[in-house]
Amino acid sequence: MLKRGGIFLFLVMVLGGPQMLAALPGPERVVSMNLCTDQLLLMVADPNQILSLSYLAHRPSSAVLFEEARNFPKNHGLSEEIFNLNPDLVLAGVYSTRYTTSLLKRLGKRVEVFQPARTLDDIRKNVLQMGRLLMREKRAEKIIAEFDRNLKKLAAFTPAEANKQTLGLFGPNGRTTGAGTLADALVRAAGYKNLARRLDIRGSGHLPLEILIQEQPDILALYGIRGIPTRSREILSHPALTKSFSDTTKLSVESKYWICGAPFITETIVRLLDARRLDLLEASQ
Amino acid sequence: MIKASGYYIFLIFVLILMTLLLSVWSLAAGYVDLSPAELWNSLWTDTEDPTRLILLEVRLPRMLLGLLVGGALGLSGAALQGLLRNPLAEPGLIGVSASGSLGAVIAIYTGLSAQFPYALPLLALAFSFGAVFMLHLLAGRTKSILTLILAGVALSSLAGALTSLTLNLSPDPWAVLEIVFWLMGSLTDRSMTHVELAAPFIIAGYSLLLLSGRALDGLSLGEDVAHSLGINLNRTRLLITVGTAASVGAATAVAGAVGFVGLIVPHLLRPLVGGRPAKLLPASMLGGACFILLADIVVREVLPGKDLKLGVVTALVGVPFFLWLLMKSRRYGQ
Repeated sequence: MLKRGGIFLFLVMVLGGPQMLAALPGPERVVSMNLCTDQLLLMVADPNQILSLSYLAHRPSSAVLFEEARNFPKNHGLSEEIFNLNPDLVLAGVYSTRYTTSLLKRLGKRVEVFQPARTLDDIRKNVLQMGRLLMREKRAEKIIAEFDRNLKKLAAFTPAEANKQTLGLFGPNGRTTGAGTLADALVRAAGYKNLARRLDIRGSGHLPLEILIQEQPDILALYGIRGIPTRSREILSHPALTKSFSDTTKLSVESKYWICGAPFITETIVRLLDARRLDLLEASQ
Repeated sequence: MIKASGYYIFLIFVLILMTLLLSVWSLAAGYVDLSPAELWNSLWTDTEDPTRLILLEVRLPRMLLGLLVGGALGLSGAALQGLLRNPLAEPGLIGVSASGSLGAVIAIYTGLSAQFPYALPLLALAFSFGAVFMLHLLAGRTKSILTLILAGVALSSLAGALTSLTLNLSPDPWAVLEIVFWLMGSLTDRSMTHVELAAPFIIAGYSLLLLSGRALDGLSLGEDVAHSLGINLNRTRLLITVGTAASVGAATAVAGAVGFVGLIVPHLLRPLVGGRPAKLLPASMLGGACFILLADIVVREVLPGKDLKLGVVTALVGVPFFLWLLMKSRRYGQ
């Protein structure tokens, strides 16, 4: 979709000449230095508005929209590098290097900071904010409408409160996420109870392997399993996990589907729902 | 003489008893509250029982690694101190552990250990061997504490820096977070796989180090006396170098670099064995195992859920001890 739009605009540019380009409303040289603003920008912006995206957006392991992102040059979030691109709008996340963002502001650049999405509603807000900044509110509204349609379709699969299964989120180094995180919002949107909530874990926390085994959630959702072997990841193939969770009660959803609050996270909900259907299938046999 | 050896047997007996008690305590300590009765009963349940899995797949490997790693550090500390006749020779301080860590990091992050699991202990062993060898070259001929410590600081810093560099260069976002594990050590979330990987090398290292006892006794009277007693110094050096590299290298490969164990334990036990290296070796091995088991219990019981690193606990005990030793050795000259 975006690609086709790009080709269309390219033709318009070539045929219509520079006057057409100048007629585009809103900022024309947008640089994003955060993985999540990168992807929101890709969804909302006209390709001609984008100047550069963060290097993480090019990585298949961290970005969902990496293929689209590769049409644009990457930056490493360094102040000199970004200043030299001469952007008319810089997009950053709260956790982008504060030093870089404040320096760019002092140098007279327009820097807009996005809050990380912690709920499904935050996603709508961020898409709208992006639409306003780029002066493409129509496009933003269209994306939100589609997002809401998808959510509504998925909500049909949500079981009654009493029938809800517990899902344990488990990642490298025994990390999990509880109340106040996007991952928690997604788990609950898919109709599960989040194990971390039951254990009173707020935000991101450590879930000792022992407790995970003792608690025996109905579904174990692993993230961050793909990638080069590291010590942090070894725990995901720990024999104790393999023995206490069968293949039907265990699933893996790549990290990139949890990190950024963008409309494509409905994909995450679909994957979590899939697990339950597999489980139900087994129970009925 | 008979009385002394009766006393020694008693000491070893007490140390074995302490090791056993701490091993059992280590199995009982953890994030999930399980009574000894529940743990015992779980041994006779089906294999999918959560309590049984916690006991056999999570706590047992942790306890076994505590035993093996602690023994390796205590024993090699005592042997190195005897060989270099230097009270500050300790695998952590002089860079043997840090070098082992570097070897392990290279094995894991280049993907080598995924292809061939034993690359992990073997590479750590090779790097530890290199470190002991370098120390012989840099500080082997002198009894000066300063030279040994300076050579050790240089080796540790270099190995630590290269470990950080390797992890920083890794494209994986998790790798950088692991620097602290490799430099401080931890037994968290290890599995039986790690025990299988490390145990053969650690135990082989034990045997080599324990064989050097008689030679170290002779050496404690001076090189000339040792020669006249018919002790082959080159053989002793080789035994201890390979033994330390094998045991500390394999221990570090699975647990990271844990400091100060090889310093504190032999010093505490030396007065109790009358300063005889041959007797100090087995005592330090058991003492090291006790120390690590205890430190790992502290990690889990004092700040549960914080995933404290083992090296933090050993350093908190070890640094004041180290400073005290340094003051004492300065007061009496070198």
